[in-house]
Amino acid sequence: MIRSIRGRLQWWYGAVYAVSIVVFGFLVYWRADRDVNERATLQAVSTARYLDVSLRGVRPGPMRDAGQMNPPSERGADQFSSDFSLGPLPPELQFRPPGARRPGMGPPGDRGPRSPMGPKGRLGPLGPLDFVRPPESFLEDDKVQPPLDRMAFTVWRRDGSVLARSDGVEGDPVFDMQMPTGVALPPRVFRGKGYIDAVMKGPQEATILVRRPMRNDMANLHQFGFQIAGMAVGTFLVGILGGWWISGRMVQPIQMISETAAQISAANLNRRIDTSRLDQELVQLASVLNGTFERLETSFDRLTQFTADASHELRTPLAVIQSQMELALSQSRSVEWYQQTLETCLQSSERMRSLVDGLLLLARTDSDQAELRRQTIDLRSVVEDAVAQLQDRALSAGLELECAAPEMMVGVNADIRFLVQVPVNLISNAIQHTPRGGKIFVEVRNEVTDAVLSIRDSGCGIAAEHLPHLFARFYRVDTGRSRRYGGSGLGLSICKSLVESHNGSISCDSIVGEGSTFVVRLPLSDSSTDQALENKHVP
Amino acid sequence: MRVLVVEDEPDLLRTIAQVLREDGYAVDEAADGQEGLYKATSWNYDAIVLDLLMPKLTGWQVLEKLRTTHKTPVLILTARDGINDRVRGLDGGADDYLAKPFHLVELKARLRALIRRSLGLASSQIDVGELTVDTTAKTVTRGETSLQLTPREFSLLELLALHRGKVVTRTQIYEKLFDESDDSLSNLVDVHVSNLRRKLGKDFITTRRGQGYILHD
Repeated sequence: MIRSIRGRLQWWYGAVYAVSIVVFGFLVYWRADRDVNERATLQAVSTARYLDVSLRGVRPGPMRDAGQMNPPSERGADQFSSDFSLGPLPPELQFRPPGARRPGMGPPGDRGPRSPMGPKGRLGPLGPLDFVRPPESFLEDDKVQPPLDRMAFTVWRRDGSVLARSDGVEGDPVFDMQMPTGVALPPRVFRGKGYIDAVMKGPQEATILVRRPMRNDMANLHQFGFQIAGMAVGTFLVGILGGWWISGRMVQPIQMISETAAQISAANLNRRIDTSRLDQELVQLASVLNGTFERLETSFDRLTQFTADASHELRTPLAVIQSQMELALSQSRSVEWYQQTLETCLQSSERMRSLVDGLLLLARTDSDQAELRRQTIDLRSVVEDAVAQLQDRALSAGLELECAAPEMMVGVNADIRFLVQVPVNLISNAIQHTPRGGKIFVEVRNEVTDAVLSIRDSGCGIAAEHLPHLFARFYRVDTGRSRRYGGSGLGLSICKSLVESHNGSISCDSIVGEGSTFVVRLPLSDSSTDQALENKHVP
Repeated sequence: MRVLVVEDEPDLLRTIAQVLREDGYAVDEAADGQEGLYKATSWNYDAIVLDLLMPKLTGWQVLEKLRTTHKTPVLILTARDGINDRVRGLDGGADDYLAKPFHLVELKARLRALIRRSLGLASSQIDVGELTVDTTAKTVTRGETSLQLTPREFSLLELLALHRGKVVTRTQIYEKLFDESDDSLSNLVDVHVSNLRRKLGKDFITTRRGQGYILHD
């Protein structure tokens, strides 16, 4: 599977969304379920109480006493069976509402209000029942409710015979009620499958059982549950689509960034990501990328410049050789001509060789491949050798070349093969840039922990604007000067590279018209450091 | 034909000048940009070979200053062969661009093409009467027979042929045939003209007294 931010965002969002919808749906359903059950229970219990009150209303006082205080006697039972009867029940308990008052409750009362009959088969007295008529709210309640299941009740005498039973229940297994045993006085509730029973002791140990069937309620509840589920699925789909759209919008700027970044190649490194329309978090990302492109462009430019310079320096002597050869071969020439041609070619190839050597040396010091075979050497002798080697050139250029060194050894830990090039390069450089009659002063000295080589000339000097670039490869103060002096443009950068690979530093001070001073600092070897410190203490 | 070579590499300058002289051009040399610009503006060269990286003035600067007054054809000859350098050179007013290292034959061919274009010629052959002057092969033929001319004589004939029907002054001939280092004796032109007449026929070149020479079709 492809990992995409958008996909994962969508996945997590969808999961969280689904979980919250499911939890919410279950909460709503649970609450509705509880309400339905509580309501049904309440209805069953209040009906049971109503029956109880109704029974007592017929014969208050003694019956309660008998029921509560004494175990019912034979006589009491007889009395109960003969005298006890229920008056007409209120409409709620008849469950046969008259006419349109209770639509949907069952077939219209064709037989009229009918009461469970006492053993004598006649209606009981009406008076007391008026007194216990339930409040209006009890009646009104059903109006706003969906059709409820019809409640049923049975009242048993103490001996287990049925005193009263609601009608229309025969043959209905739900209403096939058995007399419960061990029933306490206050109403107790039993939950069965598809119904709720409220059971209590009535007067004279009569047992009242009210059954509240739950089939319709449960069906309603289930319907409600399906509705919730349907809405949940719908909401989920809408949410997921919205989430997909939103995540698309979030990912869009990232795509923009990556597209721009992909378009930036070596050919158009100057392009940048437009940060003006990005959000703050992405501005940071884009800025980091832009910074990287900036550095890439700089180093790329430097590389391009270096390559162009190197190829220029190599091509020029090559062009000389090629044209010289071609000219010499174009017709037969004198021996002197050929000699001259060969000499010119030799000079050019010398120039190329020194350039290639310089480039190789730089490449090796760049990549730390120059294997320095370090040993303690005396900087004085290295510099004095270089001065001696270049004395002739200085004399022929009409220059005075002087060297000063301390009497004690200036030991540096260096590879003499490489280090010797530093004074040679710097002194040659000074000779090239100092006009006839000038002076070059070379000095070696100890400075605390450093060995210092300074080369001062009375030359033309270098303008301040050039100083920072002086040690850059192929950098020229004057774009065309190298031809005349024969330099490759690498001398100073080779010096810098060599000195730095010996953990030293090189710098240049210059005043135009007065001359330049190059200073090389190298760490003294341990023994020389001790010596130098000793000499400091002893004046 | 007189050309100027501006090049700061002394060996290369010498070589190019030499090969062009052997080809019959009058060649002036300049070792840096400043000298090059001075010479380029003081003579009417047929073409200039210009290096780019030079002391004092770079080739681009020379070109920029030269183009304000002169439309001399310029061939840039440089070791800088990057696309940007070529574009900069050509847009700066150069007519051609050749990268070092180069072949001398190519340099010569490009110079010939440059001069031919600047003179508005369609091909390297000029027909004058029954003579055919081939500026590339440096040959002159009459019908089937080819005539042997010295390089100087050929240059003179070429100059007259290019301006056929028009008077070419002695000064013009001096300017185009001799470079700055030649000791141009006053009768040298006369010598070459009489040699040409001897080889091509007496009536071929007409002398306009006090004006110069003219070549009729």
